[in-house]
Amino acid sequence: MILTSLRRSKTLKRELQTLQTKYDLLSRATNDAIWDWDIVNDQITFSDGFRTIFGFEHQSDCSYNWWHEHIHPDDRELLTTELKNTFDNCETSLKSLLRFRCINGSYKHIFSRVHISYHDSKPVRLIGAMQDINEHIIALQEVEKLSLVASKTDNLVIITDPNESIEWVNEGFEKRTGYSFSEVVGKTPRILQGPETDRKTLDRIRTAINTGQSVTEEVLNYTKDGRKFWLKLNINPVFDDTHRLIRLLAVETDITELTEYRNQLARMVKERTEKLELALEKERHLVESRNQFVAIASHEFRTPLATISFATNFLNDHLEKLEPAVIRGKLEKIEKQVLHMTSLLDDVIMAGRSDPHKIPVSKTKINLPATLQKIVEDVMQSTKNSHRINFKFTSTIVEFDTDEKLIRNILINLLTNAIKFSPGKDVVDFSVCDLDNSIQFKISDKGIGIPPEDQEKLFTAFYRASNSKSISGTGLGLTIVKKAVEVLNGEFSLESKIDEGTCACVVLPVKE
Amino acid sequence: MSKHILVIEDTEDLGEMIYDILSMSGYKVTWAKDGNSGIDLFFKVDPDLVLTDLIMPQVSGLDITKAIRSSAKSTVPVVILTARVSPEDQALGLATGANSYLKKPCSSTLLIKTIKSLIDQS
Repeated sequence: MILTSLRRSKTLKRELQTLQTKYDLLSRATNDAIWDWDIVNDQITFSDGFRTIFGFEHQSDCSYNWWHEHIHPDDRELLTTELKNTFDNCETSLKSLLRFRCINGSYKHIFSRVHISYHDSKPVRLIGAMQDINEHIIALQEVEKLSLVASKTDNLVIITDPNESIEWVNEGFEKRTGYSFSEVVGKTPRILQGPETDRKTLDRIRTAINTGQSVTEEVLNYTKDGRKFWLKLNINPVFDDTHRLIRLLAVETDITELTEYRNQLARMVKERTEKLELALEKERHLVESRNQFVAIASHEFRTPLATISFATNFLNDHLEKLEPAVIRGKLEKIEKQVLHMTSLLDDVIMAGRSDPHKIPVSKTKINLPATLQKIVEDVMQSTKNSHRINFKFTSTIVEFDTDEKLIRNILINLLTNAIKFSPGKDVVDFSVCDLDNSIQFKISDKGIGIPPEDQEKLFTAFYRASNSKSISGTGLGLTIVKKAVEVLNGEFSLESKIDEGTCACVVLPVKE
Repeated sequence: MSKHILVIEDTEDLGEMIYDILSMSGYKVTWAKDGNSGIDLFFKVDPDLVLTDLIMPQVSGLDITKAIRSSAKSTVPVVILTARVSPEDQALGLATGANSYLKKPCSSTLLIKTIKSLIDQS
């Protein structure tokens, strides 16, 4: 009996020793922290893993309270409940995720597995393993954060396989392009391009992708319903450990507004520059005109002055020998030159007025056909009948309320111009007809015409067309005509073709 | 025999005054009223001197000067009488071959003196 008992005791001891050795070996073999809790004596034994994971030296006399206190406060209640439920149901295993405090006070994420032994439905011993899953959890959290960024950002994110077939797009993509994820998956991102997408930019992107480089470009894209929008895209190739291309990642920012703003700015700068250039051109033009005027005025005044000078010299030198009639003739010539210069001065003053409505107007009732006939005759005489004026009057108006001086000024200038600028021709046309509540005067010649680039400038005082240099003139005629027509509330227009001729048209209102 | 002067001037009153002054000074005067007839008359009347305006329609005083200088009678003196008074115009006139460049208005004394000096030279 005693012998049997001794033998059994020896066997148990051996078994226990074997078990202890196995436990020790197992504890050393695993990185996990193994603990053994004797509930009856409230004693917990820890393996070396505790030192590795949490930094605690081997402790053999820890109580449940010590263990419980090291659980993260937020996890304690759940763990207590879980344990209670497990014990109540006499379950032999429990798995849980919890955070355990290290010796330095920080917490680590732990996957805990517990085996429970019962005696008479009461737990007597718990053996547990605590696996350090801290890095895994942190990495997981990191991935969660990143995927949150990728899916929630306003930017468009596209992930494709190496063949540029779309694997994933984010909400930002769906929102901006109008395509849903299911519509684009498996397709190429080229579905976003359209007729106005710049081919050169696409070529640059293609080159970068083919050579495995990242690329940043601005591209015009199209939404599903065809609206244009600008993207600044950044494409990055993703390689595996063997440097094999496994994915393309594109992050794209909507820069439509920025692009529009930029374009608007560029337009504004261009407009301002143009305005400035126009102002400068005008200024240059003005200076040029003034310089030209000095030359022309000099020329125009010098010729009558030369006549006066010669006439007075002539009278002085030969007074005694001259017949009174010859003397009178020369004096009349002098007087004529003075009148000519006076009228030239009037023209200069009129053309120089900045506000045409300051030109005095004195309206009287004139006999229109008679006045026009007289003007035609005067012009033919002053131009030495070099041209016939083909005068056609079809208007019904006889009595016309207007400023006779201004009308004469307008028509004499236009008729004289028509004759002056059609050398070698022998006729100019002058027609007068009725329009609605107005009367139209049309003067056309088959002369040298006005170069298109000079037509607008001709209304600037003293400006003369580039092809008129061999024909004398002040460069005041059309300026005066335009101002006089404005004063009479009329409209003046010119049509001209080089070497074909010019047609001047004056329309004056008729008061009923 | 009196010397023959061809006057080319398109301004009627001035041309007439020049004609009177030169005639009274004893010259034979032919007056052309534009550039074209000026050149025609030059070859027709064979003048001893040409007095020409500069700015005229179609054929200018410079054209006339050039025509004379490149003709068989290239040595006939040419006097330009013009309202173009800038130094540039004067230089151009003389460079083209005019013997003298007179600015309007000028006195009849200066005109006669200039003509005389040129005709006596030739």
